[in-house]
Amino acid sequence: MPPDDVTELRAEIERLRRLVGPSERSYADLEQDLLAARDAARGAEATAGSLRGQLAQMHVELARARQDQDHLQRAIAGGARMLTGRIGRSVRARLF
Amino acid sequence: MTADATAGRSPLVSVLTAVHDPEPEHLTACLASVRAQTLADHEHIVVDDGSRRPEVSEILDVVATRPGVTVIRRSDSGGIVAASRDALEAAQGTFVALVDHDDVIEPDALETMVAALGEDADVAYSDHDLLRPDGRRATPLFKPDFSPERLRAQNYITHFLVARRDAVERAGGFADGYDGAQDHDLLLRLSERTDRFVHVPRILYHWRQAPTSVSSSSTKPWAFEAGRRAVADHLARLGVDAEVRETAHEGCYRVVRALAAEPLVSVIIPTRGSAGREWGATRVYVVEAVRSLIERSRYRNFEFVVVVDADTPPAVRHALHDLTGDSLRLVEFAGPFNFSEKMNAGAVAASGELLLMLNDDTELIEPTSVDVLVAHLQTSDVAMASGKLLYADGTLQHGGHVYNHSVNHALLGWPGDSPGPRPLLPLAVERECSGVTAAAALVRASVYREVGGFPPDLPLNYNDVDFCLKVRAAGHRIIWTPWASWYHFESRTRHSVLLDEEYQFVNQRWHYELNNDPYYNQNLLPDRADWLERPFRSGAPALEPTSGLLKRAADGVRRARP
Repeated sequence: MPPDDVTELRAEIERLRRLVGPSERSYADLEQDLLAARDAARGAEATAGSLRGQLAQMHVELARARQDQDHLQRAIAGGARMLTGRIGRSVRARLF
Repeated sequence: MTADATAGRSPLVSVLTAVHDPEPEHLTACLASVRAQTLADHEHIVVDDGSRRPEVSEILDVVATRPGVTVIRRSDSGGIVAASRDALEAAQGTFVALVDHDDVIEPDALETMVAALGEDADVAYSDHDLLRPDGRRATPLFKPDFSPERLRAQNYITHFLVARRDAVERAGGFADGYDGAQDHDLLLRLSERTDRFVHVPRILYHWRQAPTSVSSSSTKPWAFEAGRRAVADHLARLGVDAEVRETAHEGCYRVVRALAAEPLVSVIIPTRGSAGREWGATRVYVVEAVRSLIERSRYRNFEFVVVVDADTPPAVRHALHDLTGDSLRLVEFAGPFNFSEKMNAGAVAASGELLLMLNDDTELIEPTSVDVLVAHLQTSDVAMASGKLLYADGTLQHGGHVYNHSVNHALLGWPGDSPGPRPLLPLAVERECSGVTAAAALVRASVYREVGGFPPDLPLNYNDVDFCLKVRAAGHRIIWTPWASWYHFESRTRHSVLLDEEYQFVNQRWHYELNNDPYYNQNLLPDRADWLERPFRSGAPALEPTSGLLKRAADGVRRARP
């Protein structure tokens, strides 16, 4: 190998070492950090998903409660109108 | 035509009730509801299975004097199977109806069921709800039409059952050894001999939740074990090599079928080799979809048919070659994106007996997923099967299609591990579906060709709907299973770009099917796929506290806090 190439390669090794830091163990640490970051991102997304899923379930429960409440209110209002109408008719019949 | 029909009468119905020490007022209510039937031609066969309560004996003494009521007394308690068998032996009717000793039926229950049975059906069942101890009705069970796969996974029919007596007798009646699950066993036996089941989507039966009723108890392992055995014996009679396991959800079973063979599965993946970020890292979707199958799947006999656009990067092609070696077939596709045409091109190039249609933005989760799907397709009339698809955040993307006046994925966005809404727990059981997504579905290659593949008229959406409805129209069943699972990194907002003309196309072709999903129920709200009842059909809250949901939500919030 020509001396120039060897010099170039040594320079490249030096450059890479500077990038890695004082210890080549940083490579392994960096990889661990990357895996941990990936797991953290995945865990965070799963936690958010769990909450979203529970919200989806609760929306159904809420829709059920609302529509039953609405139906009940209509039924009660209808019943009240019928009752007042009946009382009114009865009173009118007695008076007139 | 039956003799009864010839004589201008409705056929006789024998109501069978086994009695064992019920609450006296509950027994009285049961007997009164049968007596109040609008159908005149019925008899009530009441078998007292050695009751010790004197009030019960007194009540039966009184009803025994009434016309149309036969009371049979067993000196010792032989169990519900023995008592039901005595009742069946005494029955004279063309039909038999099963009513528990503390339950109540609607006045027109028998009349409605007999009308539904007509001349053609052998078995009829209705929707039912629960009768709370305070007398209020709760927790309606709005059931699907006959769903034999689901019946193996859970007794979704339970009440109210009316069947031809000769069909019940041919099926062997009530068999020993299944006390607590005798109705499940009977239904399975009936399903082995007939598929002429009819479902009446009306609540005709009120199932009492009382301390003495099996339905109320959460501690009835003997009944669930009997149910598990009933399913296992049923599969053995059918010659299906399978193991039946109880699941985390009471009354739900998992059928694990053995693979008789491992035929070649052609995995068809349309792609343009695109990349995106998931879980904080960049991935080339198709490469990871293939890698997950190769590295995680227990099933190994694959051929990968990847249908690539012309602009698919060479690096992606090389990566696929490196992963798959000789099992890769790259099919070049030119022209504008058309999912249907790409799938059809892949199917032409595939040589497998089975085709696994797979989107490129997927990742296998459960290693035995393909085994589960292949095992379903060993049944001759099952042509297609799909599993559970989850978004990257673990929420549900696909739990089977629901065609309920619109096309929906069942329970979209629910937690991925949820069994689905009570009481039917649709995400906890294998079941027939009107359709499934083509994002991850296994189909028999012969059926793919039989129905003509995907429609090129639907390049983006609803092509799987059209395909599935063609498969079902050809007489095949489609199964959804929770035991096969993939991640599907589909955009959650994808529905917003649906093209109206595509829906019009599929709606014109399949209008009836899109508005009458046999595996849903007309008592549930239209345009939804979450089993939400129409207004005021939801009943009162169940006896069991539903606070579990709130508790889980609180737990989730607690976990999310730093």
